[in-house]
Amino acid sequence: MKCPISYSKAEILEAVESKGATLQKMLNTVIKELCQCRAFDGTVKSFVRARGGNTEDAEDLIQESLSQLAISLMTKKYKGDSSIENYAFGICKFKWMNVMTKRGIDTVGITDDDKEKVGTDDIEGSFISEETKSSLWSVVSKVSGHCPQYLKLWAQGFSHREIGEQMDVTEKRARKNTSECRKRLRDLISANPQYKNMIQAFA
Amino acid sequence: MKDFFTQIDAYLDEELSAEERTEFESALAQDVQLQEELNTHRLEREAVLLMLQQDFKTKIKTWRAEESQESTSTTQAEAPKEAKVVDLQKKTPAKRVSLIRRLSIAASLLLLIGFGASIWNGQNYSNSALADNYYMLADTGGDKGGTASVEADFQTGLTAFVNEKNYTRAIAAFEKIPTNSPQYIEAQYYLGHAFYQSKNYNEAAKKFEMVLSNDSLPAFLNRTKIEWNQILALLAAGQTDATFEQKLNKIATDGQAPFKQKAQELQTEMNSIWRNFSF
Repeated sequence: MKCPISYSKAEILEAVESKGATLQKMLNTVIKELCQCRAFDGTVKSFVRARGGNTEDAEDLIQESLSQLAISLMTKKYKGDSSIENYAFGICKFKWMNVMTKRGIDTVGITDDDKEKVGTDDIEGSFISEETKSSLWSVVSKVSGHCPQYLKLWAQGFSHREIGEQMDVTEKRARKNTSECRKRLRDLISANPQYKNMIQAFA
Repeated sequence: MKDFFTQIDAYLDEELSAEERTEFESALAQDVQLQEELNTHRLEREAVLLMLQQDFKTKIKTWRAEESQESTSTTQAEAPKEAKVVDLQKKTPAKRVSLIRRLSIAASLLLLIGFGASIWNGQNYSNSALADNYYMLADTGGDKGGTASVEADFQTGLTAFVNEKNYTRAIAAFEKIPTNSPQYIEAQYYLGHAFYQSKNYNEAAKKFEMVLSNDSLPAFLNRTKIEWNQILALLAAGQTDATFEQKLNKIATDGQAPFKQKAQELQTEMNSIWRNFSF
């Protein structure tokens, strides 16, 4: 499978290290190009259809997997062992196998090749379970005002100067607001007894 | 305490040297509070990543839809014409249809197609459709629940705007905020959005202009975002004159992300051939 991607593996890794605007630009470009790559689309759809799913399942899987790809790139899970399209397909395979297990679809059709991870690249991406993610979403939704924007820029590695430029405030104000927003989110997490237990359990 | 947090961030960002890392992990093994703080930071990061992932899901949906539309139109354009097989033995005498009747049917079909296309284009490419597609929701929460001096009308307006989505009530309340009130600019900002949501785009544009005329805005307000929404209000109000073009062009060329990209996309859509067929 080959997709017309504007970034080479090395350029992708370089953008990840650069963070901020460079990372944001690379993510938007690469994910959009994969979204619109017919070879990728066809490969995933054939894979899903051959393993108990339909076209709609494949579409959902592609959307879910590509959003996961963005996060995996941001969190440096991708090490460049495989091409970005094969890595994205690896995420699709991994996620679809989970769906098959949940739906009780016979996994006889899954080959060893399907089970293999792509090189040494980690495709799972998160240290918390899907259930925890979904409960964490209820905390995220309580963060209001300008904070989501500050937090997202911070998580993408924008400097305080760049955050200030984007939010139209001074660098000093951006630093203060980011810090306050982060604290607000951590307080929400810590205040929730469910997470308090989890925090201790992780320790 | 600052060093404590900075170290946790550096550890999670994998920015500590091997020596610093060993030292940090050694401290971590002995300090329960540090372990808990580290885990809170991990959850904090996961929470923000969820926000970013959600943003990507929305973008991906749009990109996939674009691709799907493009591939459909390409497939239709490239589809080979199938040869019509006619069984000569069973061929029945063709009914004679007069040329005028044929032309009438063709004209009716064209009218129907044109009408359908106009509706579709109107829904997607009209000024108000474009303005609605690109509209950025109001920021809230800056001084919410703040000082005791906040006027009752302001709180009424805020509750109507944020919680009840009752824009008529919100407008009535915010209009009562006097010009010398500390909440006046904020009230004008919410009025802009309330008018926008009520589709009174002329008033929305005026209110945004009023907010932008102030050099000092409340910290939670983003000037570029307000400029962007004002442009959309002008577009929806049909005020696409030279001033509008100038404002849009300014953001498309010198604006900050993400508005620069949005402005370029809007310019492309405004120049789309489909707009000529919309009403």
